Formats: sequence, C-alpha cells, structure tokens
Amino acid sequence: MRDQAKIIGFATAVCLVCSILLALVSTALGPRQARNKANDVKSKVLQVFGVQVTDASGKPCVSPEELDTLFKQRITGLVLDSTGKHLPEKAVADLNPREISEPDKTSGLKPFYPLYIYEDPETQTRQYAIHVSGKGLWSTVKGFMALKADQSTIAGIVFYEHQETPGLGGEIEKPFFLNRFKGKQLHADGTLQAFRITKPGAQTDMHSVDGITAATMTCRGVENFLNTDFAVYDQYFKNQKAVN
Amino acid sequence: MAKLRKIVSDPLADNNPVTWQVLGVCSALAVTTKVSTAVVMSLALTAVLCCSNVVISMLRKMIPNKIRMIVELCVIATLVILADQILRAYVYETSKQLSVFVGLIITNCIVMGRAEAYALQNPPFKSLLDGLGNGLGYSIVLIAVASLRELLGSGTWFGLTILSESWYTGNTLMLLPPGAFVIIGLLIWGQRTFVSKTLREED
Repeated sequence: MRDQAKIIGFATAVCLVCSILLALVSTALGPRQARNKANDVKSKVLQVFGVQVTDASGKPCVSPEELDTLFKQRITGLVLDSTGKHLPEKAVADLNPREISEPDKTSGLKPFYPLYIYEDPETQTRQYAIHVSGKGLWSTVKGFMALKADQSTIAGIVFYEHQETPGLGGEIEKPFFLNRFKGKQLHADGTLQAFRITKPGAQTDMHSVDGITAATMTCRGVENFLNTDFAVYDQYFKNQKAVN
Repeated sequence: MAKLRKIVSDPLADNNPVTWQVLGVCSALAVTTKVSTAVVMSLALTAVLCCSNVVISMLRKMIPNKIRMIVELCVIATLVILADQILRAYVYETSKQLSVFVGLIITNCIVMGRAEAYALQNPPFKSLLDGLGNGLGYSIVLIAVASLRELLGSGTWFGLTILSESWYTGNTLMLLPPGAFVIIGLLIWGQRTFVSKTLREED
C-alpha cells in the first residue's frame, strides 16, 4: 500500500514538473514561432513576385522587420471562398495552412483561397499571387503563382512545400522547371484554357509546359490542382471585371 | 581521469552506437541527405541525450523500479519537445527540413538505451560524459553518411558546389533512403573488418 502511494506520488510529481516546464517554454517561445511562420509565408509571396528576399542558397537576406515593411507597403491580401467570392471579414493572416491547402475529398476544393495583390512602387503596375496546392505523388504540394496585371499571363511560380521523391518529383521546386511557366497564358480569347504539363520533349504551346522526365505522376498531380485552383481564382477575376 | 576519457572516447569508434550497437539507424537513414540537416539533428540528439542522462541519473535513487521506463520516457519526451520548440523559434528553416524527425528523437533507441544501461547505475557527471560520448559517436556517423550522400547525390557539401554539374550528374540513389542503407552497411562492414579486429577476436 505504502509502495503504491509512493509510485503514484512520484508519477504525479514527474508529470507536474514536465507539464509546467513545457507550458512555460511554449508560452515564452510562442510569439517568436508564430512570427517565423508568418514571415515564411510573406517571404514566399514576395519571392513569387520577384522581390529578392533570399540569397542564392535560400537563406533570408532581409531582416524580419524589413520583410514586414516590404510586405505591408506593397501587398494587400484578400480571402476568397471556393466559389471565388471575396470574404471581407477574413484576413489572410488568420488563415491556417490546412484551410488553404487541404482539399475536401469529394469536391476537391479548399475552404479558403488567399489572393495577394502586389503594387510595384515605381511603375504602379499590379500583379496577383494565387495559392496553388494539391496532391502530387506522395504528398501535398503547395506553392504560389504570380499573374501579371492582365490576370492571365504567368509571371512566376514557386513550390514552397512538398515531400516528393528527391531528384525525381522533387525537381518541381527547381528553377529550370519553374522558369518554363513564365509567360504562359491561362486564357485564350478571354476563356480559361486547360493548362497542361506535357510529356518531356513534346510540343508545347501557350497553355502548356514541358514536364520532368521520371516525374510523370508528380507532374500529373500538379497539372490537376493547378487547373482546379485556376478555376476558382478565375471566377473571382471574372466577377471583378463584370463589376467594373 | 583516463577512465573518464574512456567513457567519452569509447562510443566514438570501438563501441559506436550506430555502427557497433546498430541503434538510431532510422534517423540516420532519414536526415542524411544534406550535411546541414545532419549537423542540426546531431546537435539536437546530443543535447537531449546529455540532459536526459543527467536528469535520470539524478533521479535514479528515487525512481520506483516498477514505473522506471515510463518515467524515463516522460523525461525524454519533455526534453525532445523542448528541443523541437527551441529549433522552431530560432532556426525555423532547418526545423522545417527536419520536420517529424526531431519529434522522433523520442523513439531513438540510443536515448532510451543509454538511460537504461548507464544513467540508472551511474552518478550524474559520468552519465553526462556517457551521453556526450554516445551523442558524438552518433554525430560522427551521421555527418559521415550525410557528407557522402550529399557529395555523390547532389555534388555539393554543406551547400557548396564541389562536383560541378557540367560534368557530374547527381546519383539519385544516394538521395533516397536505400542509398543511406548501403552506406551505413558499408561503414559497419568496414569497421568490423578493419578497425575493430581486436575487439572481434576478444569476443
């Protein structure tokens, strides 16, 4: 009996000490971690607009404070729902990663779609960044794509998270592949076209890019979710044009 | 003094936790595609191992034998979460690459193994040295494997280009887990055949 009491007492003490310690650390480091996360997204968005925020090896070359100011000065974020309707009561900063990248199993749509509008400080021209994500071969691939002011010409694309096979599907994050998207068009005569990632070496046109050898499945996944996401954002752009 | 030194130096080669005791292989396969992630993982594991050894050694006379292992687990889990939280706050980029593997330090047999085999019987200072030695032994193997994999797989070392892409095509096998499996296998074979000959004959 005494033994058992001692065991229970000791176990309780250990649990108490451990949980208090963890709670303290978590509260102390929480704000810093949240800022890291927020800055990570911000730097990805700035990157896709072609703003230099990292050096050649991918290390940040601007301080978190500079990043904040850059972002605030040049970028406005909007949140759209899955029908392309603007939700004014939501802010992009409040979205959690799951809400914008985990598609519903039946509809294939995500609850929220962030849209970032970039205004160039010198030329005053606008660019748009849309969030694209969906299943690759093994994992959810997440990225941002920038569109030029015409809302149809691709200005750039980055994939910031995926767990595809390194050296095969993982190559989708490399510049040689991403650069192929630049200048391609989403529309022909004002209607949204199906975007294709073709077999390597096949003929490409204004609505398709060359795929990666030995990464057919990943490319097929990317092609699928790009088209699903384009449709949602296109709806928003169309509504905007109708209003104006 | 010589004895204390031996506690640290023994696990570096002759009694290496990875190549000799074949513990902690899971993470050695997973986080060794790049040297930089391997270094952070090594530091995290060594820190956790030293702390857990010291804490468990200090508690060793109080821990009731019946719940010994669950207490060890509790201490280790707490330390691992601490390490993970700190990495996320201070080296966010690297912590993203290590992702689940920091959490999986909990399941790394080296930590539990050293607590059971050493810290429960020995005073805190010696346990600290034992943790340090085993942590470093793990680190050596991890960094060696990562160096080979990064060099042969991507032609770089610590992110610096060594083998130029113009004439060297990266070997993708090295970037996949089986590549690490082969390298660790070769390391174990090499050590047992050439380095630890005397040990084997004693056995």
